[in-house]
Amino acid sequence: MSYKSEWQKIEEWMANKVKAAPGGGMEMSNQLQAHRQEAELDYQVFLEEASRSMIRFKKPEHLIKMIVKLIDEQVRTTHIAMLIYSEGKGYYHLIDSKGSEGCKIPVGFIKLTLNNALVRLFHERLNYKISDSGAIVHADIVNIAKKYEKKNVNDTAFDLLPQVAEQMKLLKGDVAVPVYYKRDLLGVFIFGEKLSKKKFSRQEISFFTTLANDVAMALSNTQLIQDLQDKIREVHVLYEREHRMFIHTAISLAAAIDARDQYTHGHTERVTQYALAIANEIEELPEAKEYPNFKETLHIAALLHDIGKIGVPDAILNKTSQLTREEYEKIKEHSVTGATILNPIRELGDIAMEVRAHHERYDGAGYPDGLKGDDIPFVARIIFVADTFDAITSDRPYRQRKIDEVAVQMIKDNSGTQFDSIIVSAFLLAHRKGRIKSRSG
Amino acid sequence: MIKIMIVDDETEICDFVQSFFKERNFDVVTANNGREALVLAEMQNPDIILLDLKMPVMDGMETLKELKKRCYQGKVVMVTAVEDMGKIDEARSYGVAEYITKPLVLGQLAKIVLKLAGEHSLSS
Repeated sequence: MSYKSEWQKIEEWMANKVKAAPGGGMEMSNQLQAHRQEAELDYQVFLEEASRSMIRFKKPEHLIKMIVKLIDEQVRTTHIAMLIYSEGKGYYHLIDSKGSEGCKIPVGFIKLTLNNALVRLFHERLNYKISDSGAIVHADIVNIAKKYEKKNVNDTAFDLLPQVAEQMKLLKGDVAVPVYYKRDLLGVFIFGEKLSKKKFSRQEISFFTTLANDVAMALSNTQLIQDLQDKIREVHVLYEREHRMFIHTAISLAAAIDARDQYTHGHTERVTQYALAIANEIEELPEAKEYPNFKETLHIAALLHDIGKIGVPDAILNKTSQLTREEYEKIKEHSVTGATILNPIRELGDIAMEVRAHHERYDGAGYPDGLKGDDIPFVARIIFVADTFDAITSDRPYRQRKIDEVAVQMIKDNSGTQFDSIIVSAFLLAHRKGRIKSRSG
Repeated sequence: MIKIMIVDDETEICDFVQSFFKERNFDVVTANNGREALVLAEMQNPDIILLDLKMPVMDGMETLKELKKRCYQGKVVMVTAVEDMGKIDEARSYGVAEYITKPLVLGQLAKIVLKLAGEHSLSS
């Protein structure tokens, strides 16, 4: 399925991302360097683990809960929260929060609106004016805001800072990290104080931003997949509804045809039932697989196979004595008439072909085109057998019906000449299973 | 020190709001339902009550009626879900000073409560 390959793409992308994890940049003593490399290693392991886990999640909420849990285990802070934007509600809502010391913000309790200073800062990308990584540290904000106050210049980014600091204080955030995907601010990570009371290192902050990038990617992918699944379900429901309506229309049409002919009353319904029973035995054949939707084509074609009888005069249809040659020719026209009726309907193009050919014999002696063997459409060959069985087991004005066993024998006798032998085998199988039975049995 | 009582059946909310107002120099008590709140209101006489509307045992509206009956003198802030906005008018008739809807904006919660606290310290 295409989902799988999408996930594989993300996995590869993540793997590359992990390989290119944040590097050094500051002058350090050997000891510090060693310590730092060790810490870096931990984060690398963490990132690898995180990227592996991210792929398992198909619901954004689950993904976020997993990430918050992982960060909580890796970076011990008083509190971590993740807010994401809700398209429907128009604000950022809290998806998860974890806190070791009573700092946990209850899920669903708070929101950040679009005019929130922190959201505005991130949304308008003003954060990059004060931080290379885009992450915001509360202490830095307070310092920058103080310096800026003295300078007395106009700049939205700096004007916002006191409010941003206030918002971070409200959320008990030491660090806030934006989660961007393309141009959109998908969410905000909030990190509380470290339990060790130490400041966050540049290393840790760059780890957060790398993680936020990965989260954005995974998040937008889960979102994409969810949207896609919703769409597929929607289309499916629509299709089902339309299909049901279509089948019912076909059934009504068939009933209208049947109603004109007292002798063939219920004929269409029975032929459809027999044809479906035969089809059940052979739906795995390559011939059946060639149809984009074999069962449905068969079902509709069977329902509509006699629709052309609409063009046969009542006097002929209901005649109780033997038909003259001309009258019989008139009746034979019904398969062509049926195809002519159905042909203009684009969705029924294939059905028209089947209806036209439902009196073609396997040996080429049928009508209207004298098609032979495999040139006769497969569905038409099935309907022909089903149609014949019903004709033999039903009363006609000019003869009495025969019992099923006689009809079965007649069909068997004509296997390979009148009928395709594969279809006859399937017919016999279905009959033996009790799935083909006339009213009189 | 201003005393605030938080009434909510969700312990997590009580804990969070408690620490939120403690940091802002309030004296905080919490209750998990209306009945508890009534007992505590009598014993502790809080200046402000933050009252959740939807609670088991005794809901916010019942609690409010009881408080009025008992001539409670402090201020009540009603906390409701957006879908319960329709009950605000009824709550006002029982003397609710302010209301706030969940999910709430933290800054707004602080502002409302600080405003009421200011009014309180002015009047006393």
